[in-house]
Amino acid sequence: MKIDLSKITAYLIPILVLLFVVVFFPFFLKPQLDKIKQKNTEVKKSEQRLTVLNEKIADLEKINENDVGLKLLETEKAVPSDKKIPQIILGINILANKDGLKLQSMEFKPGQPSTESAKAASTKKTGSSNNSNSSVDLQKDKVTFTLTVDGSLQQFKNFLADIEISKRLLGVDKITGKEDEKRQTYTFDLEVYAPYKKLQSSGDIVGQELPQFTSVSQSVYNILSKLTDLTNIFITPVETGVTDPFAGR
Amino acid sequence: MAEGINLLPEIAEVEVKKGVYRRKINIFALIVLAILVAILLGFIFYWGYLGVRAKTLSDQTAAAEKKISDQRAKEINQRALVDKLDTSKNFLTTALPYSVSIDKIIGILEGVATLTDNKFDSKSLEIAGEVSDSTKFSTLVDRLNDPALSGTFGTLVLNSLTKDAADKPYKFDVNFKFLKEGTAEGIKK
Repeated sequence: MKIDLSKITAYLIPILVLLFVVVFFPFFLKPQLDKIKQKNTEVKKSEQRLTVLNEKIADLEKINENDVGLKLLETEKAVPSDKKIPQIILGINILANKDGLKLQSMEFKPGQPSTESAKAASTKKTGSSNNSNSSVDLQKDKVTFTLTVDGSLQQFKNFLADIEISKRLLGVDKITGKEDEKRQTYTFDLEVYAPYKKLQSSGDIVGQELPQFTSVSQSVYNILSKLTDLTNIFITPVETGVTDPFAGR
Repeated sequence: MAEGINLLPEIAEVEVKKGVYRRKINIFALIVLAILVAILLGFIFYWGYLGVRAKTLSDQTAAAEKKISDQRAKEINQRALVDKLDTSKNFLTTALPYSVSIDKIIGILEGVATLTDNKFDSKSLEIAGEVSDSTKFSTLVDRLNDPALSGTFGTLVLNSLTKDAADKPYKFDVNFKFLKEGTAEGIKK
């Protein structure tokens, strides 16, 4: 059988175009389209990020560094960056004495280790820092302690009122009170917590929006600045094993 | 004379039509080809534009990041401040002002009853005490149900009321909800 080449040559251009289309679309155009789509998405993301960064630069330029620093110092007294337990102990003791209550005991619940050495010690103790079966309920971002005080109802009320206006934020979760046998005073057990906030920086902090100091922040700051600082006590560090670390003996 | 006339056309009509179709198909194919080439060129130019834009953005981003990094201390302080104020706000709007409840309870019990036990757990308050006679107990109930306390305490529930012997006082045990929340007024939750 003889193939009539003249017919093929007559339609050579359409055949070639058809072949071109058939080959061009799936093998060239489609992958290029996907690449362009991907690149386009990348460019859009970059544009968005640049917008965020430029807004952040504008926001940063508006900030008065001294003002923020002073406000941070004041806020640090309310929510410190670490637990500051010694100051709490002394502050509560001073407050109980002032209100005529007798401080019987204070017991701190285990929290998240705040220093590297404490972290290492707790890991050694429990076997693993991520031990989910641990029976110890670790308190996050707050110091929790129980307190036992003796005194009258009025004295106790004054003590609570003082706690509520403490600059180092102290909240009371539970109270149980019982009249003593002689029916003269009460013994109160309290569960108290004090929030603290560590400085956190993780991930793309440069690309994160700058948190705004809003009117609500200002009103919270105004309230904090009016509270009474009961725990602003300087404690000299002493070596381990000292009987009374507060007296340094 | 008739010998010079060619009655049959040299090219058949079908052949003429075929030629026209062929030409039209060829022109159509060439137009399609031109469109495809135009699309291809469009893509090439767009790809080039995207490349240039990406490079420009990358340079601008690097410059912006440097500007931000130069103000790192300012940013850290601002973040820490807002973070601590948010924590304070949560605390101030949720901490329970128990001194208010104790103050009210002192007023309620004054002159009529003695508090023997109390248990305040979150917003649930439970108090137990003793009253010497039924008249005083009635006064105590009236005081507990005083409408002026409606913003502080919820509905009162009497858990028990006992009297062991005629010469012994009445022992009562009541609980109610503490409705106050937040140690500072005027902060939006």
